[in-house]
Amino acid sequence: MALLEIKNVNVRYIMKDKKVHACQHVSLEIEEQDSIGIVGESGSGKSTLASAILRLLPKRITQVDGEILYNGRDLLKLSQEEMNALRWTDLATVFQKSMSALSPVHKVGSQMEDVYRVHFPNADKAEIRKRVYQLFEIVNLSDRVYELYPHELSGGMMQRVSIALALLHNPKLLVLDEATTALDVVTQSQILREIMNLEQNMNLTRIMITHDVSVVASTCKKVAVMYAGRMMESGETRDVLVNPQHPYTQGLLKSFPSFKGEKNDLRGIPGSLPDLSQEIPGCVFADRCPYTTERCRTEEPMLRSVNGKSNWKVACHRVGGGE
Amino acid sequence: MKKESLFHAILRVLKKNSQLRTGIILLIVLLLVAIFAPVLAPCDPYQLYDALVKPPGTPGHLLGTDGLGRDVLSEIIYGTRTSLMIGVIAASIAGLVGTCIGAVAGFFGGKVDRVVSEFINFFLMTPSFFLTLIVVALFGSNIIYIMIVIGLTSWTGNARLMRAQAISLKQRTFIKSAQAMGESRLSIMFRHIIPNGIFPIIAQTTMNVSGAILSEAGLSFLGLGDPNVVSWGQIIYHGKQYMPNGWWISTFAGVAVVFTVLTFFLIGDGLNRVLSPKMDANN
Amino acid sequence: MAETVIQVKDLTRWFIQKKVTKQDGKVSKKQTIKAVDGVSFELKRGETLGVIGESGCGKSTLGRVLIHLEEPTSGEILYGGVSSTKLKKKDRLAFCRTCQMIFQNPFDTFDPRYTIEKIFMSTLKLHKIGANDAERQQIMIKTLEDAGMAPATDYIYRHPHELSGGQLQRISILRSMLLRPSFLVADEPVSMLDVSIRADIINMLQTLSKEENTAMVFISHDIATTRYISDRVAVMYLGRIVETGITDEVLHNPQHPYTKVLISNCASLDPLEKREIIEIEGEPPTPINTGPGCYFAPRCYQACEQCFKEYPEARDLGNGHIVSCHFVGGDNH
Repeated sequence: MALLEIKNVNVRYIMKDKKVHACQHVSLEIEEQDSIGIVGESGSGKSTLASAILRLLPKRITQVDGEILYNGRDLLKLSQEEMNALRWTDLATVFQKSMSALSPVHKVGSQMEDVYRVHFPNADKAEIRKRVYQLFEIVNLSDRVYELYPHELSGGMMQRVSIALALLHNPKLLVLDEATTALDVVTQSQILREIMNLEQNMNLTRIMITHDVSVVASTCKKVAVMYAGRMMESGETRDVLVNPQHPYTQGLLKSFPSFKGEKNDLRGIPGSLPDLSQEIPGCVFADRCPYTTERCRTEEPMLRSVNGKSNWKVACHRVGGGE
Repeated sequence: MKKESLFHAILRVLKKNSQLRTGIILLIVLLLVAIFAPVLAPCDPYQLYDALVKPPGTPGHLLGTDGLGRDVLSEIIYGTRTSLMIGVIAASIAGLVGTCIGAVAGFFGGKVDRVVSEFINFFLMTPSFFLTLIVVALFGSNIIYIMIVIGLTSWTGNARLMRAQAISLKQRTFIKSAQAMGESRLSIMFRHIIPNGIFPIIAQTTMNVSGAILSEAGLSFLGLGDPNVVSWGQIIYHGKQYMPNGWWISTFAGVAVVFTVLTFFLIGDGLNRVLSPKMDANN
Repeated sequence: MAETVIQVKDLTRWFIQKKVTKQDGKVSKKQTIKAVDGVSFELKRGETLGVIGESGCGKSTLGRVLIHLEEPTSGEILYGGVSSTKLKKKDRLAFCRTCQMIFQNPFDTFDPRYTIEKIFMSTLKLHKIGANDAERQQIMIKTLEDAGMAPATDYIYRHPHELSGGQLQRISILRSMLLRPSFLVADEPVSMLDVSIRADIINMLQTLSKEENTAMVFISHDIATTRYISDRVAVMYLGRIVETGITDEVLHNPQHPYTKVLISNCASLDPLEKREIIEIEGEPPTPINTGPGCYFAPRCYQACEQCFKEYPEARDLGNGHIVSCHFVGGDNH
């Protein structure tokens, strides 16, 4: 059984005069010890999906339906207390701006103690300190950081602290929402390597939300490509990124300049994101797709397995549609 | 079409912000009173009647008469004109001076900023009310002087606000890009820095109106008001000596002051709330 | 031989940091932060130099100093052989027509209260392009429509916040190119845009600069993008250029250890590719008290004693490939 099973999830943001469909019919299966990268541009709904999994969407202005099964339990139906019990021990997350997640007037160490006590209120100081030092070693930070204030840390160190914080209670699922985007190439690659080592040692499943395909290519086993709130293509990295089937995935990969080999022509994808507050009857990508047919505009393509692989799924009429 | 949308925007804002709405309704009442003073006032405020120190409710004198036999209600109605004029003009002077000085300090920075900031601090530390007193004592209590002096002693708050705005705005890319396009520093200051940073000053200026009205009332109360015009401060000053047997003379004028101060305060605070999130949305 | 547009000689930009009281009560003395510390290069007409490096290496400061948004602490910038300081003093507007800049954040490049029309018209008026308003209007519409933003009336009555990042960045580039500058600085022009839009902006920059024969400094942390657009690259570390040369030569045959580290850490799009990553510790420090030795020595995997003692001289390996490292092209190792 999959560790996390997302079944037909829809997320709508309810505005005063309109509803914005941030995620539509999103389905995804994540096995234990998988590492999956959810890739998409801004407005693709990738961060919304992550927040939906973690139940971090503001209740009043969002409407979520579908099922998100974690070990068979539907996260969307859990009570607030049950959900809180799962946080940190099962699900943990690291955001892009971890600087704002930490209080500027308290030392890093004491904030980590507070978080530790959320689940173990009676833990004593020495015990926590030992655990924190252990985590610092894993993420390559010196013990000195325990006594520092957040503003004394560099961006890379902050991100490491956030990762250590997320790992405090040995979570099974780690969600990294653009966690390394703002960092420099060298620092980013250092941190990603550390995270990959962690996975092997700690039995961790990782979801990476990012707009940088190259990061996914080098660190994830699986990839899911999202566009305008829908899943376009998902599967193993070495299938999807080497031999992309969906026109959007193809276009996205062509937009990246290559670092090695011939200087290929760079081509962007013409057009822009459709208005997500309108109902779109056909494929959301039809307006920008070079292969659009009549059918694309009237009938929404469903995710279908391609090339005989059950975990390689594409939502396009051109692919595996029996035409 | 653009005007239409602006009008709608104003309506929408007023619908949401009850503080601003109340303030503006009260302001409209005040303005109407000031404009139609000759129609509304039952008597000539300068005419001396025979009935001295008559309590409110006396026939012909709804709020009674003062020690010289003048009709208190008419005095208060005419006083609205003086108080509003002093408040608005003095606050505008303060706004103008403060904006320019603050923008220069914040935008030019460096040595200019250090000198101007010291100048601002000097004015902040000087007790402005006594400065006003001295000037009025020296140059006489003409209403024009009073307005100018109040304006010139209350700009420091605006200057500090504008300086902070200018300092944060000058980091923004569009200022750098204007520089790169070759616009001169003065042009950048007047065309980009001030218009983009003016909103808090507008809110502050409305609040300053109430401050200026209070200052004028205070001056008059000390006997330094312009004796040739009726103002609320003058009425209170005059009524002071009749406190034991004529409480109404000072009281109703005092209520008028409180009412006006409250009006401008509501508008100022309301504007403050409306304008700041809008700026954020634009950014 | 194309003419040289810009010559930069030993350019520096230092910031003075005032006394800071640290939390342990100690007062640190005045410190000099050397954001740009002795940069020299030359560009010919139509040539593009990519400047790469991590954040804090001084590449953005360099960009701003080049067009005098900040004054250099020392050193010289020559435009067509004439000192930039003189040029600017003589005629500020003419100087702005020589060199222009594209900024990183397109969402903040324009005054939020102005419409696109007003933005264009005020620039045209300032530089006295076009005889009257009607002619300027025509120039504006033609510029926009030539760049694929047709019909122009869809855009010109809008405010910046009503347009997308890609559209704004196009407008920013078009506005700068209206002045027909001979030199352009592009400071991370696509880093805030979506991937599918980046390619178009990069292509537009490249086409326009080739058409107008504009020399360009392209500042970026993205090595692959820089490779795509640049004829030559310069790798910066703590305010100094450590390696420079023809793009593919530097990127495929890096000589300086820092360049090697940077390139090996770049993630590739190809998940099947086996990468050999050179690992180094830590992050770049702030350039204060850099000492006499090579700035990279404390993090370098092959640093020797000499590296801490003296800063390595720049050595030409031929074909304009210049490296500052004791281990390269030298006689001592």
